[in-house]
Amino acid sequence: MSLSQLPQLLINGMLLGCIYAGFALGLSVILGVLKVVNLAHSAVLVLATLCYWELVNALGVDPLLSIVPIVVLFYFFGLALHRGVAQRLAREHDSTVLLAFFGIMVTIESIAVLIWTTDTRNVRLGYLGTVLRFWDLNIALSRVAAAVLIILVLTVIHLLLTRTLTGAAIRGLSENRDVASMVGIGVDRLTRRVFAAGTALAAFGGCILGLAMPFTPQGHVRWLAWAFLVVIIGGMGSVLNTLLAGLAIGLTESIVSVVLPTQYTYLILYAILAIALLVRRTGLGGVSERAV
Amino acid sequence: MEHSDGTGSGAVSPVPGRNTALDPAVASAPSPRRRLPPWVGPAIAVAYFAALAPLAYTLQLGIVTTLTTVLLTALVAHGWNILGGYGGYLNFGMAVFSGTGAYTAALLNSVHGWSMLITLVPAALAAMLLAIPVGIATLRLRGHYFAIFTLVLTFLAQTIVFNSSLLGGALGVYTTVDSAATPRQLAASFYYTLLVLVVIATVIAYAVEHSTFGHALRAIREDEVGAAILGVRTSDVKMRAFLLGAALAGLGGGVYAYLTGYIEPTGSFDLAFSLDVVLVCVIGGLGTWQGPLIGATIVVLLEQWLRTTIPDLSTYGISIPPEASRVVLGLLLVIFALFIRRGIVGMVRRRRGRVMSV
Amino acid sequence: MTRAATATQVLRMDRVTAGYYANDTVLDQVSLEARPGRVTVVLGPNGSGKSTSLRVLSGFLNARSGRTMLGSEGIDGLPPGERLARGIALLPQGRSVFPGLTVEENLRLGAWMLRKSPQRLQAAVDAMYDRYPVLRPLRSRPAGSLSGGQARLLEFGRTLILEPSVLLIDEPSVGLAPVLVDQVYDEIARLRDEGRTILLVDQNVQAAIDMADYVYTLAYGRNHLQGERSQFADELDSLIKQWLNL
Repeated sequence: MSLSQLPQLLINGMLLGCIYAGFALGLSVILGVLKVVNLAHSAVLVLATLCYWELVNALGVDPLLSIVPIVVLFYFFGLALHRGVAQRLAREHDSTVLLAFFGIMVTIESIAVLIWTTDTRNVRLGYLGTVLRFWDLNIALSRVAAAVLIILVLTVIHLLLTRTLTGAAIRGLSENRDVASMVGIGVDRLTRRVFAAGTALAAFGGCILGLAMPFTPQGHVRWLAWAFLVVIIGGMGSVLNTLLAGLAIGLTESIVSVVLPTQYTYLILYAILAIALLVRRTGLGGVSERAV
Repeated sequence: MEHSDGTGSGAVSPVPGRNTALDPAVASAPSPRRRLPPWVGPAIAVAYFAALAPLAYTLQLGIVTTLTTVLLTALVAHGWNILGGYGGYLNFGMAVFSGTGAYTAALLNSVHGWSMLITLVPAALAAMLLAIPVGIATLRLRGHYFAIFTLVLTFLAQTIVFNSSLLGGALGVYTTVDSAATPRQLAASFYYTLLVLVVIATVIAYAVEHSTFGHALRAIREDEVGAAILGVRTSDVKMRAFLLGAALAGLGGGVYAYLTGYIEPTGSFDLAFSLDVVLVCVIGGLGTWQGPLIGATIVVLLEQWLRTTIPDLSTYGISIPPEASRVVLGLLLVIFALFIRRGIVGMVRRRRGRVMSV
Repeated sequence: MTRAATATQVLRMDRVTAGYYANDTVLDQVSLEARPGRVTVVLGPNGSGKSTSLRVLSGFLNARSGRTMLGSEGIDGLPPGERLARGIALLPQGRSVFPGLTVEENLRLGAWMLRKSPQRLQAAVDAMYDRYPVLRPLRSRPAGSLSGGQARLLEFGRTLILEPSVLLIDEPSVGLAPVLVDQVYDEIARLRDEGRTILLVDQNVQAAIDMADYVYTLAYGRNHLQGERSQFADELDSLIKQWLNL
């Protein structure tokens, strides 16, 4: 690795980091507010990517515009998933919840493989497919667009949570459900909407995945691992921390990938996950306090 | 004033007809469930195994193979059930431990020429050896970290083996067995090896269920903090359960390596197998020593049936790839988790209680 | 929701049976009544169903049989929010502030029912700062960083922000320093003088009886004794002895 490569590496890593933060958004919302470990997060994410792929590649819709219908669609998918499954698990043992979501993960993944096969796919980027050149830096426009979108969404979520009464209600819900319902917040409805919003954010992450890199229906568990890595390192308290955690991981991956062959990059990141689990065992804030 | 109390308003007086304040509370405990005598379950299990014993030489070879798969799945499911069923710590990467056993056995066989029975012990040891660092890293945490990490571990294992030429890489490893044996003898040798292992595993599961160790695991599942406060050394207990489970999975994997004759990374570290194992325990009944036996029989037979039936549908103009069976299994898992949480054994146990107490 | 309408609001619970699990009856045919401008106290040993009565009245637990009424209107089955809209507010036991939210946000959430009209909401929040001026300088502090007394005031403020006519108060002095306990009971007296209906559940028997107008005692989830305060003042010792013998 020569020094001249460094700026390029940093830019790659930062863009990648934003993207990883985007992957973690839905997971972080559902875990943070509802204390539900959504094991099906990445399966939903990739399902959204495949729908996005259909919109862009088969129907020829603009790649940025296509994000909107996908996110809306998955909001309703989230409502249905909550009504059908998550709601019934509200008072169940953690392991029951995990089992159910593991089942959902397998179901979604298998359906996706049935419909779309195990082929690797690329979203046709059109005008986003260009590579920007500054001096000797190459920057893929699609990734820049993805990073900008993510920072935008993160900012909106941050403002929503901290500046609005609904945001306060959501934070209140995550802190003390009983008191929230005592002050008259319709906690059941709010819970349903938060779950749906988390699913919609997972779908947003799916669109980002489609914009940023090739994907397969069955390879999603890696994104689950990455999303958890972001949540564990960043915690769930603040949106800024999510972004910083994403950046840390993106930069690590970008720099390691120069030194080692690609497959070992995964090893390093899995190792970071293991270390993060060890060190930040209280990292998931309220969730970990609830039991051990 | 509606504070009526019969003796005029304002007086301090007991509510009429209710001099209950000092009466003992009426016990409202449900009538005790009469259970079948404790020997009935084990007796059925003994009968079940006795019935399985002569089958290797009497049934069609294809059916023996299916039964062998049932036994293999039951063995690994027994391993899963100890920590997952009793303790509530879900291992979604059981294939990693069986795969480790498979690779250990296969490598010892192909490099050193050791035979199946000799390599089973190192296979179990290797799986336990892998479980130690994984357990140290994740078992002190809450259950969902463990679940996530083991899930991810599957892909980590694939990656490592795939890129390691020492382990055969993408090419995999071949195993050889006694070439003089007839297919029937070969099938019987796998069948009886697994039958013996499953009997041992069932005895272990029965012993765990009725021991302090099993009670400690259940306490961890119900309330880990409470268990720790009561003096259960939770990390120790979980680690032991994990190691025991990994050993059983390693044994299963060891036999698998000879059963298929050839192993490679994606087949040995297959999420689908982990799913099967989880499903077996959930359907059979989490945290029951009979669960893996019942569940394995159902899941394997169901899967075989789906595998043969779904392609048949294409003759009716419906073409569904065989992967569709996993959709069914995934949905089954969701349905059992939502509605039949205690599995078939749980249903039988509860039904029995209700019927007898009427 | 305004206090003017409260003068006639009697809160009543009539032969209510309730419990948390199928086979378990915590309340067995319990009847209570609380009237405006008076403090009605419910006493009893641990596990006698005091807090459960408040849970039923505030809508967190549905009665299996029996009725709950506000004035002449039945309120059975209404969720907590609906009861709040009808002027029944609960001040629960222990700390109930949202620790991660600021004082201001806690108050605003207390006025969640007014979210459709921001001016009224803001006016209600300002009114609480006027009522408890101590809170004003703390408005942007996280509630988790408040002292016990400050947090208790915030809880009062959040409970009163909708000007409820009926207040259900559960163990108001538990966990507070002795200095603060008097302030809490003074505050309850003030609420009574404002004409509100107050149903107070308390383990602090002496303090509760001192301010009670009417007293109920429960035992094993059933009504035991009831009567005006004057009758209870003398019986207090024997009552407590009885409970200890239980």
